[in-house]
Formats: sequence, C-alpha cells, structure tokens
Amino acid sequence: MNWSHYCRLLLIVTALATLALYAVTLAVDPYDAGRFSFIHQHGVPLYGQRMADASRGRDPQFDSAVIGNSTIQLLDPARLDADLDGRFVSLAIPGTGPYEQLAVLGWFLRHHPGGVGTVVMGLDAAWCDSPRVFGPAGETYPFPAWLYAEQPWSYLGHMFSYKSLEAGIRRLNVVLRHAPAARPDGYNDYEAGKAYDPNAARSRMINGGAENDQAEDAAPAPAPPPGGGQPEFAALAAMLGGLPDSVYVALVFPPREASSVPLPGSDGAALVASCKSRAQGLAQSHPNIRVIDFLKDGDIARPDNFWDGIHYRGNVARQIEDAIAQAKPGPR
Amino acid sequence: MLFNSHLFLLVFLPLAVAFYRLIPNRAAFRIWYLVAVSLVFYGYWDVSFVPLLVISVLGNWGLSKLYQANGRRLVPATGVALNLASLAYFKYAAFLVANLNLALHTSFAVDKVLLPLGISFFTFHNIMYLADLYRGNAPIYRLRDYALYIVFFPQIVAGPLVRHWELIPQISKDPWGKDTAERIGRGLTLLIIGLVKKVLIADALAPVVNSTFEAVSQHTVPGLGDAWVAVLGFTFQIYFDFSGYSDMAIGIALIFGFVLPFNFDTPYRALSLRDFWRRWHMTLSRMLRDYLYIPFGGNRHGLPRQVLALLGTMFLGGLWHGAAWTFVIWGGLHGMGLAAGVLWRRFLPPMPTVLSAPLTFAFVVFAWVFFRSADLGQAATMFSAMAGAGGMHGTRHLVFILLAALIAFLGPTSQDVAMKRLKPARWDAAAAALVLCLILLKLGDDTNYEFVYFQF
Repeated sequence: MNWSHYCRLLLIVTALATLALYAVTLAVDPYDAGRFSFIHQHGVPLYGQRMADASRGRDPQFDSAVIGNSTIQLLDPARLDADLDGRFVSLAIPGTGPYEQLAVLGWFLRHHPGGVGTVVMGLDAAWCDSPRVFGPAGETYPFPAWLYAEQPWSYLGHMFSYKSLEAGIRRLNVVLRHAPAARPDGYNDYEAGKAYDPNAARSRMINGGAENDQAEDAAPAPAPPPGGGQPEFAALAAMLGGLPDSVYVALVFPPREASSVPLPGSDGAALVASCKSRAQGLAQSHPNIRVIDFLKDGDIARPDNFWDGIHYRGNVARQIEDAIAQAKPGPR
Repeated sequence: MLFNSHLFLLVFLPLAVAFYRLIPNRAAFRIWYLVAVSLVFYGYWDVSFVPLLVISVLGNWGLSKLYQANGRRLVPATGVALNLASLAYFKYAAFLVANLNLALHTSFAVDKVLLPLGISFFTFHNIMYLADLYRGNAPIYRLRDYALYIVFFPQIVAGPLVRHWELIPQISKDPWGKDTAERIGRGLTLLIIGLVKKVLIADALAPVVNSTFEAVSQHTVPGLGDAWVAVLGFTFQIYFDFSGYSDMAIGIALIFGFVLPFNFDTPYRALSLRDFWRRWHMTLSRMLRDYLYIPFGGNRHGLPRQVLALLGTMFLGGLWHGAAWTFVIWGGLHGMGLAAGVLWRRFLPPMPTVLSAPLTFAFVVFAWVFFRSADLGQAATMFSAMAGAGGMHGTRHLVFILLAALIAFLGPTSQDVAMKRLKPARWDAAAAALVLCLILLKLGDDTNYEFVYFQF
C-alpha cells in the first residue's frame, strides 16, 4: 500500500462511515418525530418532556392535548378522557413559555389533520406577567425548536451529531424492548410519592403564605415586554383561528396561592387583567373557545391548596378538570 | 471559522484544497490564491478586522521596501515601534488606563476596543521580520511572499510562531510532486490527532474546569477534591487544547505543502523549568529567547545580568498572553523559577530526576492557577480551596483527569506518530477514518468550545 492509497482509503472510509451512521440515525428516528423513520412503532425512551413530546404530540391514539407549563401538568389525561369523551395526552413542559408551548401546539395540530377533539392551554405567569421575549431568546431552558419545526432542515442538521446517534441507540433499545419507554400520555403527577407538609409548603410561598398579602407590593411588577404580550396572543389566535368549530379549546388561567395573586390596583393586576381580556377576545371570536379562570383570590387560593406559590394540589386539579368539562359547549 | 467545525472540515478545507489543485500550477497563482483563501478564513470571524490585517501587511512590507531604498535602520526600528503601538492600543490600552487611574486616583475613560483575532500572533510575525531586517539578517521579500507569511490561515490565529526564513523559502516550491501523497497523508493524520486532543480530551475537560472556576467567581470556596480536579483539569485542558490546535495548524499547512515548526514536545515530562520551556509553546520560547532574552544580555554578561534578563523576558512573555495582573504574575513566577534554576545549577549539585521532574510539574500546575483565574482574588480563593479551606469533598471526574495525565505523560508526541511512526497501512487509514467520523459526529453536538489560546 502506498501513500496515495492511504489517503484515498482514509477519505473513503470516513465518508462511508459518516454517511452510514447518519442514515442509521435518521432511520432509527431517535425522537420518534416521524420524519425519515423506518420504525412504525411509537414511543421514546425516558426522555424529558422537551425531547419526548414530539413523539407524544403525533401519536394517533390521542386526539386531545393539554399544553402549557408545569402549572397545568397536574391535569390528569385519564380523567379528562372520561369527562370530555376524548383521548388526552399531556404535552405540558415545565419551564416553558408561550414560544415553546405554541411550537408544541403547532406540532400537535399539524399531526392531527384528521380531527382534534379538545385543546387545553394553560395561560400562566409566563403568558401574563413575566416579561419574556417571544422567541428563542426568551427560553428559560434550551428548547429543541428544531424538533418541532415545520421544515425538516434544522432537524436534518441536528441529526448529524453524536448525541442524536446515542439517542437513536437508546430508542432502538426501547423498540426492541430492552429498555422502558416513556409514558405515552405524558402525565407527570408531581404529587406522586410525596407527603404533603403544610409548613414546608408555606416556606416556599411569598411571605410564608401569610394572610396579609402585602408582600406583592414590595416588588413592583416587571415592565411588560415590547408589544405588551401581543405577539404570543396573535400567534395563538392564528393557530386557533384555523381550527374547525367542532374543536373545543379551553384557555385555563391556573390558580395561584393567595400571596402570589396580584393585589387589586397593582401593576401586576393590570398585567393579568389585560392578559385575561386578550383571552376573552379570543373566546368571543370563536364559538368553541372558553376561558376557565382560576386566577383569583378566595377559597381556591388558600395556602393548603398549594405546594408552593403556583403549584396546586390534586384536589384543585380535579376542580379545574371539572370546570373544563362543564364549560364544554353543547352540541348545536 | 474554527478548525473544529463542520464548516471548516466539510466545506472550507476540501474546497480550498480542491481549487489549490485546479488553479494553474504557477507560484504567483498559488500564492495569491492562498492569500485570498486565508483572508476568507480570517474574515469569516469578523470581516471588519480584514482591513486592519491588510494594512498591517502592506504597511510592514512597505517599510521593508523603504529600508531597501534608503538603507536607514531607523525605518525597521520605527516599524517595530508602530507594531508594538498597535498591539498596545488593541490589547493593553484599557489595562494601562485602569492601572493608571488606580495609581493616580484619576478617572480617565477608555473605550473598550475589540481585540482583533490573532493580533498577538501576526503582529509578532511582523516584529520578528523587522527586527531581523534591523540586524541585517533578513532579505527584502516580494509582496505576495510576505503577505502569505503573515496571513497564512493555519497559523494566523494562534500560531505556531513561524520565522520568515522558515516559511518564505517554501512558498515558491511546487507542492505537487512525487511526495505529495505522503505529505497529505501525514498532514491529514496530524489534523485528526489534533482534533482528537481538542474535541475528545480538552473539550471534555472544559466543563469540569469551568464549573469550579465559575463557582469561585461567585465567591464559593470549592472542596479540596474539586479544586485539585479543576486545577489539574486545566493543566491538561490547556495542553491538549493548545497542542491540539498546533497539530491541526501544522497538519493543515502540510496538506498545502508547507512545513511549520512543531510547538509541543511532551512538556509535562520536563525535568526542569528550563526543560519545560524547551517543550512548551516551543515557537514562543524561541522567539522570547532570540528577541528578548539575548538582546537583554542573555548568559554572556554575568550572573546578575542573566537573572535580570530571565525575569524581564518572562514578565513580558506573561504580559503578552493578556492584559491582566494574573498573566504578569504567571510570567513573573516562571521568570523567578527559571532564575532559581540557573542559580541552583551554578552553586548546588544537580537535583536527582526523581525530585526535579515532579517539582517542575508541581510548579507549572501552581502557576496555571494564576493563568486561569480571572483575577488575583479568584486565584487566592483557589489556592485556599486547594489547601482544604472549603472542606475535603469532591472526587468527581478524577478518573478522567488521570486518563488525560496518562496520555500527557506517557503518550508519544503527535509529530512522532504522524511524521515518523505512521506507515501507509490499511488498518491505520481505517482507524484514522473511524476516529475522524466520530469527531465529525461529536462536532454536531451543541457544545463546541473555542480554543483557549484564541483569547491571547
């Protein structure tokens, strides 16, 4: 063998091995995104929601979805199935805002062209009173927007990586039943296995969840983002506007513990009010959109209904599920 | 663009080599082509620095022509001063003014200037040439030859520091002869070895090191184990990072037909600090020796002068790495260590190797703490943590550090592997290919770190 052969062999083997591994990665479809897959079985390994929800969001066994932040993830898909006569999947992803959630909503809608039953959207502080940029710069944690994108180009780029190859091997293990699969309906019960301790919960609340809720006054409400939350609501309106009238959309304002509810007359209250009026505007423009508002002071906001300022307990989740069911528009 | 990127490895380099082969095989074409390719490479980072680079080439070459015309040594001397001034402006203005303010209780403001990439390296190339011109040791080169010497893309960003008489005579040689395949094969292999050092070793150490130094910058005192893992981690990170970069640069240059000087020779196996500097960043050491240490007096004017020359050289060598007291102290420590070595050799019996080698390594590791710390307070916190002030905990990643140490201490040098041991064998080619394939996939992951030496 001479040097010329050495160079040629080196380059050819590199090209062939790289292309082969790339092709295998695409065919194994590490995240079950269904783009170039040779595997028809659904399901992914025990990934976090960010990586797993592409698979769940296109799973044909579901026709309805819960989308939002961790403040909506305690809604139980099985209970919603019974109450609303649908097949629910939870696509709630902790630590996300409108940008990420609308990417997931778009993915879910595109993959259910045959018919969507119900969409439950949780509109929490990330929509109403924490100013965020509506776009990748607004992400609290890195979000794989390439996985949920409409065009495959960015996805194709990300598949050419060692991480994707590793994920592909993990997925193969699941397909071959050597490793457990992630829960198909995406339900993540954050109460499971935990005993409720009222004192510990109060220690996680503003001012210890004390009756007087003056603490909110101490910190002035953050300035609304440029455009005042318009772009995310415009994007939401555009997505919902394209849905047939048969689709029931519940826009849920999740409850907060009393000391986290903005005081009447405060800047924070004004932000929340304008957020709610935008949601109401959407509801009025579309016959089957309903606003389910739990964001208020009163009995629901009692500290012992909460694990911390914003994460409620199971009994509250049951009330929200019931309210969503009751608000469902009747057949016309 | 980075050597360790898909853009460079899959697009830029193959195209650059392919057109290099396709253009008419005449020296003028080849040289101007490589100048253009190098400007594209450099401009990809920030096109606004290209004019500065072009002006630097034209200005310094113009000075050499002026010197040729009038023969006055004032010309190259002025050139050296101008180059130093531009380096001072871009690199040291903010540092100088801040310290002036501190000393005189003034409040002069200076706009933060963006540091043009590689300025420390290409300015030194210019200075070395002008200094040689001043001494009567350098010819006047053609513009295209000089331009390629300064902008040649494998070396422009972080070296190796090449002497004009090493590179320029190679420039006009026809690269397409009977040894071309061997040259490309060895260059390609060296590039792959460099990528392994950078992507698989240095970049894997980076998060381990960064997380602890980040914690220190937040005023946390890490545990003893974590502190040592971070400091030893950095010791090997900077070696694999920088020597990996040098291997890539030398390998890429070889593919185009140029032999650049080697930069590292298993430095952590050094038996003394003097030995260390003959093995670490060898092209910088040579430059410091020839253009600072010897002009300062070297070892020919008595012991006191030699000690002062060492201290001055290493002080400036430290400052060259960056405008901060941490670098000054790092250089100063090495200067003192080298001076101590001179005195020891003069007055005491030779130290046994079993003692001198670990002592040298320990000294180098301690000095790296200053080098890596953002300021002196951070360095102090790190030293206290290494002494156990933050508790004894933290042994994570220790195995990884030991593995890196094993390679650094026992492994052969890249140049030995690629230039001597490598034979054109089927299995070697296949192994190199599979490693390259793994690296290409690794480069697709989201975490690509820049080279440590790009900041200097």
